[in-house]
Formats: sequence, structure tokens, C-alpha cells
Amino acid sequence: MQESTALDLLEPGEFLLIAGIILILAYLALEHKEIVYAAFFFGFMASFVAGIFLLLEAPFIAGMQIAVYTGGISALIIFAVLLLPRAQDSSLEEFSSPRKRQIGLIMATLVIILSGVLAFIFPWAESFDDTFIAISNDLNELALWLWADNGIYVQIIALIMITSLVGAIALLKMDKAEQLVSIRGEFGIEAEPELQELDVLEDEEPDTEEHEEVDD
Amino acid sequence: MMQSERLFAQFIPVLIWAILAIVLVVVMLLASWVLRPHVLQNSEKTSTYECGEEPVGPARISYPYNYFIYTVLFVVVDVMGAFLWLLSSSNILWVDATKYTVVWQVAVFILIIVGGIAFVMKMLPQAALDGKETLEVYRKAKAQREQEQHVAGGH
Repeated sequence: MQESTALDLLEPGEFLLIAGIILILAYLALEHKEIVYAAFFFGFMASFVAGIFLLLEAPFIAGMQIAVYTGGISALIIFAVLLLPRAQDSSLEEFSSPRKRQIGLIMATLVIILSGVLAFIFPWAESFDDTFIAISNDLNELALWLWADNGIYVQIIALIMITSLVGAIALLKMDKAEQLVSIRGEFGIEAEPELQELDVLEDEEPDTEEHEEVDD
Repeated sequence: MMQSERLFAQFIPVLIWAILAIVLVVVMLLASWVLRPHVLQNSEKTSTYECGEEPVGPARISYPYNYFIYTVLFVVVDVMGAFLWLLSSSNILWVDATKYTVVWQVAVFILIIVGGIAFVMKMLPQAALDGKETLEVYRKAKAQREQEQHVAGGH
């Protein structure tokens, strides 16, 4: 009896430890000056969230968390940092005025208080179906439920993945069109001399020929 | 007895491996710090190595957007792998009653995703900015401008 109470205390202890680590890593991911470090802290935070899912006895969600968040989303964020030159300086994090900073702090506190109150008054124990708890704990049961009985969910996920691929291609095409505008558009390289005086145009001609030589 | 079968407790070996990995990295960093010669650091020593050339500009530049698609592809394959892992970790293929529906579900799932990847592979050359195409557009725009100037009575 004595032993079981000690073990009962172990689980809240583990939860508090993991939750504390997650909070520290999340703060670092938001506030670290080097944005690449912040992205890595996000990855570490995501893998510790998997620890929470392990505490909840949900192995599939824990594995999904590691594979998709620590692996995929972290890589996506690091790539986003590489793609955007402006994201690499920390000027984005600065508030334009102290008043906006205060408003942001008040909003953040309100959200924290509201979610805390909701977490306390929400009837967690009664709100979950016992059969679903049994399913989420067992990989075999979950696989049967997802693949054999509710396969449509998996197909919907596949379609969402397709959407992301098509969206990425569309983004690339838009970017290409934007880059081509700078060549042939109204304000493109070729249009620049037209905005200037005719005298300047004469000087411009050898320049364009030089460009062509370089291109060839 | 019930407590020792907790899923979290089963992952203690993973935790030990994680700690060992961190210790290994720290030991390697410390060892290299101890073993390396501590010479004077100057701007020549600390500058980025760019094949013997003097580095121009900051090392952090914005990469072309074309590389973005590879990350999206990675995430898609990642999610596909996670769902197939769920299937592989079950004994579902030995359950005769559900065997054939599962086979069809997996076939459709993989076909949709592989079809998406094939679509990306097909569209990728068209979506990226090609040097030849750029040159063609450039020449066309230049010829058009010269013609316009000719009509307008320029030189």
C-alpha cells in the first residue's frame, strides 16, 4: 500500500517535470535572438510534448508528434527561415510602441487565465467515451479502427497532403511569374530607360549589349 | 504491478539513450577544446571559409523558393510513413475479416500520395525559373522595346 502511493506521486511529478521543460523550451523558441536556435528549440519542445502523450498512454500520437512535429514541421520552419531574408534579423520581434507591447501582454494574460479557468471547470473525466480511450491506448485497436473501419479519414488526410503539394506548386508558379515581371513588366529592367530622358538612353545602349554577352 | 506497466515507464531506455547522446556530444566538444591548439584568434582565423576567396556579404542569404517544395514533399512522406507505421505495428493483416478492405484502403492512400508526388515532379521544371526561358523573355522584351522606339522615331 505504501509503495503504491509513492508510485502514484511519480506520475504527477513526471507531468510537472515535462510541463516545466516544455514551458521553458517554448519560451526560448519564442524569445531567442537567433531565429535558427529558436527553430531548434521548437523541435526540442515538440519532442517533449510527445512525453506528455506517452504519459497519457497514447503511443500513436506520441510517435506522430515526433515524426511530424520534431521532424517535419521543424524542417519546414528552418526552411522558412532560410527562404525569408527578413526573418533572420530580430527586428520582427520588436513592438513598434510600448503601448502595443502592453496590449499584447494584457491579451496574452487574458488568454492564459481563460484557458486555465476552462481547464479547471471542464468535466474532463466524464467527457470521454471509454471505448475511445481503450482504442487510443492500443496500437492494434487503433490501426483496426482507423484503417479497417474508418478508412475515409486516412483518405481525407491523403487529400489534404495533396492540397499542400498543389499549393506549394502554385506558390512557386506565382513566384516565377513575379520574377518574370521584373524582366518584361512596366517597371522591369527593360522599362527603366523609358522613364528617363532620351540623353540617358544613348548611354544605356552599350550596357544592354554587355548584359547580353554575359547572358550568352 | 499496474504502475510498472505504464507506457511512460517502458520508454525509460529511450530516455537513457537520449542522455547518453547528449553526454557524447558534450564529451566530444570538451575533448576537442582540450586537444586543439589555442592559437590567437583574429579576423582571418574566424572568417568563413569560401574556397580561399574573401567572403562577400553575410552568409545568411534568402534561398530561392524552389527549395521549399522539397520540404513540403518531406512532410507529406513523413505523414504517410506515420500512418503506415501504425498499420505495420498492428496484426491487422492476419485478421481475415478485415483483410481486403484494408488492402484497398492502403492502395488508395498510397496511390493518392504517390500521384501527388508525381504531379510535383512533373510540374517542378515548369515552376522553377529557367535560365533559357529568362533569356528568351529578356530578348523578346528588348526587341519589342527597340521596335517601339523605332516607330516612335527614336534611333
